[in-house]
Amino acid sequence: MSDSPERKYIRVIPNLSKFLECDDLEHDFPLSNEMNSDKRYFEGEEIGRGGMKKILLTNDKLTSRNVALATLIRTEDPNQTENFFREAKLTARLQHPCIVPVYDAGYTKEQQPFFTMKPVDGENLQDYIKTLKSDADKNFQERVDIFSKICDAMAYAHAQNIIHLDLKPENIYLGEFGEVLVGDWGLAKRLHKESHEMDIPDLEIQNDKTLHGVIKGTPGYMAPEQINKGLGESDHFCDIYALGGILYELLCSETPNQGKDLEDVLRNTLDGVQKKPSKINPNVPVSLESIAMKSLAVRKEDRYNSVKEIIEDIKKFQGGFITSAEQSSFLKSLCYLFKRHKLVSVLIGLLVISSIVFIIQVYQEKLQVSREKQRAESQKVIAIEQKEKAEKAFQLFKTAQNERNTISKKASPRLLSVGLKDLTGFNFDSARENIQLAVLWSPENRDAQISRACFLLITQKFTQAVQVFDSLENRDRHLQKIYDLAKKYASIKVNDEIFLDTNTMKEFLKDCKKIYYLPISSQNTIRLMLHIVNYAYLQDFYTTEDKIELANFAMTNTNPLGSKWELKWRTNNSKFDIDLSNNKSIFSVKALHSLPIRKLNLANSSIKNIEGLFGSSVSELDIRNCRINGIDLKALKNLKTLKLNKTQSPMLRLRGVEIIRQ
Amino acid sequence: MTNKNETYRTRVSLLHRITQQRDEKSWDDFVLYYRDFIYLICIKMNMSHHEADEVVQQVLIKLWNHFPNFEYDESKRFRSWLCRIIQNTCRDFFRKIKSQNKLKDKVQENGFKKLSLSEIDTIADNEWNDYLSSLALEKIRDQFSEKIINIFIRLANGESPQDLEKEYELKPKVIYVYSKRVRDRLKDELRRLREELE
Repeated sequence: MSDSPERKYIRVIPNLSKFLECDDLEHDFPLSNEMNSDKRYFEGEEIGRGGMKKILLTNDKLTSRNVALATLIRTEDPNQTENFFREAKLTARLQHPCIVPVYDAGYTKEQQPFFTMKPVDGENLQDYIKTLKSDADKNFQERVDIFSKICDAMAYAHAQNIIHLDLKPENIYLGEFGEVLVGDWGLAKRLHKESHEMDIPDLEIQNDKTLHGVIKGTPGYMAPEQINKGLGESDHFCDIYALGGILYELLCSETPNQGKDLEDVLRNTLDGVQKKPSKINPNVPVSLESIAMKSLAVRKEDRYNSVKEIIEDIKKFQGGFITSAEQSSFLKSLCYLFKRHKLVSVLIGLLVISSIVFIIQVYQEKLQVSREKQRAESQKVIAIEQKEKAEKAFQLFKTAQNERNTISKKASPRLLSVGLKDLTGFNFDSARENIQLAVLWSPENRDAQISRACFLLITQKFTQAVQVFDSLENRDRHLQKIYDLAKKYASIKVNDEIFLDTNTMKEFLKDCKKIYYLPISSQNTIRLMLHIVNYAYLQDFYTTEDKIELANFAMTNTNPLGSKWELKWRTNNSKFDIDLSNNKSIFSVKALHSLPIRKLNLANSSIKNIEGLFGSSVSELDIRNCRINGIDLKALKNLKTLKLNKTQSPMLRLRGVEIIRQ
Repeated sequence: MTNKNETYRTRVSLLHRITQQRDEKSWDDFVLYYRDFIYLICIKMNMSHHEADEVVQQVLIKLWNHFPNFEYDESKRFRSWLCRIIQNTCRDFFRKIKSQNKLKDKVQENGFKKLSLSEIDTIADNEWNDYLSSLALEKIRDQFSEKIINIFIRLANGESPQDLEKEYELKPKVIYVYSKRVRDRLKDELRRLREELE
């Protein structure tokens, strides 16, 4: 009784049906339910901090995406709150793929001002420039691509009359997939130029405040007029100056305006003291250097007029044309023409020179060398061919061997199932052969071994059966019981060549019935009994009386308990005439299968199924008033005479069968 | 498993089949569906596993022998007939144990509760739905990973997805989706079982 209840019986889960019935809204519509949650943003880790705000990386509950949440550090000053929202609204206005998008803004439940943006957690342009320093990469294409995207963003912003005023590599973010995002629009302001756009009136007021006295921006990238108000107002030229600074740094990895201290830096900016990038990095293309230097001019008039002009020049550089920032000359133009059509020019040159050299050399050498080479080649080819042949043959041999092995492994279960099918049809000789073959093909096939042992048990070869069982390990309870049974009868009858006498045989059948102690598996028990008894019928060892006694016993045990009945029988030339008529508690006649029956009378009995008689020797059958399916009659191969009552119809044509109606 | 079942789902209910045709297959199916239910009722009557195991077999033997006498009507009546057989079997079983103990001069306590037929009926009615659902769950078990089934069972036992979140490292949302998938499949299977058994 080692079986645990869990293994044997289904574990019933209490209240499972109730759980299934009550439709839980939360369960069935999780998303709709979630949209009702009242807290939208959760606290996240801090990823950045500015003068007045800090940035947290958090998750937006409603859209299920990560967002960067900006909140004010101190909320006491209403001016700061105003500035904070000003930045949010202004950035939100700018909808361009290269500008950090603002998603949402407002007060949280705790009255904390906030706005959310796309999280920019990759590197920024400053990090990127640092990697360039260590990597002396001559390819300027990627840098120019990044720069032109920044220019696109600024051109768009300027078209919206918004200027950034704090452009620097730190404020430009790079994504993994080529994204370039301009952010930190904290100092940005709207220009007055076309003030008929009045949709954000507060911005106008705020603009004055940013201008008020103090210097705002980052030294080194600030334009001269941002330092010295006397040089003019801050406008889009400041951004153009800063763009020049960014390009300068991209080219040579150094800031354009350098100095010992802050004052020095500011003075150098005002004086326009800058090294040329090519002095720091000799690989810098002249045209790019010209674009940077033109943007960095101290006087506004000397700079580009708009960001669009910078973009045009960058495009010219990319296409290999002369840029507007360079002094053009014929030689330079020719140079660019050569660069643009590098491939063609080089090809023409090469063609002319090489063809002359080739024609001379090839003719001289080829003649001598080719003959020797050919000979060597042909020998090499033969050697390779032979090696390949040998390898192929070896491969073929190996696969054939493997195939044989797998076939025998695969064949074993098939043979076994054929053998078991034979057994079901009481075809013992064929079953023995197939089961033995299954064991032979694959001795490690456990099922085949078990079947072989059972077959030996059925044929009363107990000693051999015990030997097979001994070799099987890990016997479960049923197998153990069969094993015990075999052992018991091996001790009673040692010689496998003789048979049990009728009384011991009955004991044996009874013991078989006890093996499976559940009646379901009673089907298995019955099967085992049927096999044993049908095998016994075929043995000459048993007399006619013995066989009838066994048949009687087996019939009683394979049919439900009911009124006691006797098998009525007569012999006729060593064949049986059996009468089961008027029996109402018989359902199976399988126990009679292998008996040499001539006449079988089932009239008025409860039998509905004679499938079990498939291939039996019955030649005369009486099924008056029985509910037997006509198709089953096909099972009786030796049937010659069939008795029916006046209304019964066999439902199918039986060839060679005489039908008698009574 | 399911595919096989689909094939003999054909119209007639199991009880009808077993009383009318009385073939091996119907009996096998009957045992498959009812054996564990009989066991469950025995356990609810406070028997130990071994006692229940023994009673289940005796009940099945009785059913096997008595089925020819049973007139098929409808499932409700079959269940009370079944209850009556269980009650009788239990009574005989414990009477036998008692007399054996007396012979051996042993006094052994067992937790078995003697119940009236109507009480057993009530237990059977109460347990039937949970039993069928569990049976259905057992049948669809192969179609899901073990993890998903475990999650579902724990939810059915009253745990909340939030409790399971950490242990399985799944978001509650994902747990809901898993659970819903099992529920829907389970309901289908249950409907099929009811068609066959009721």
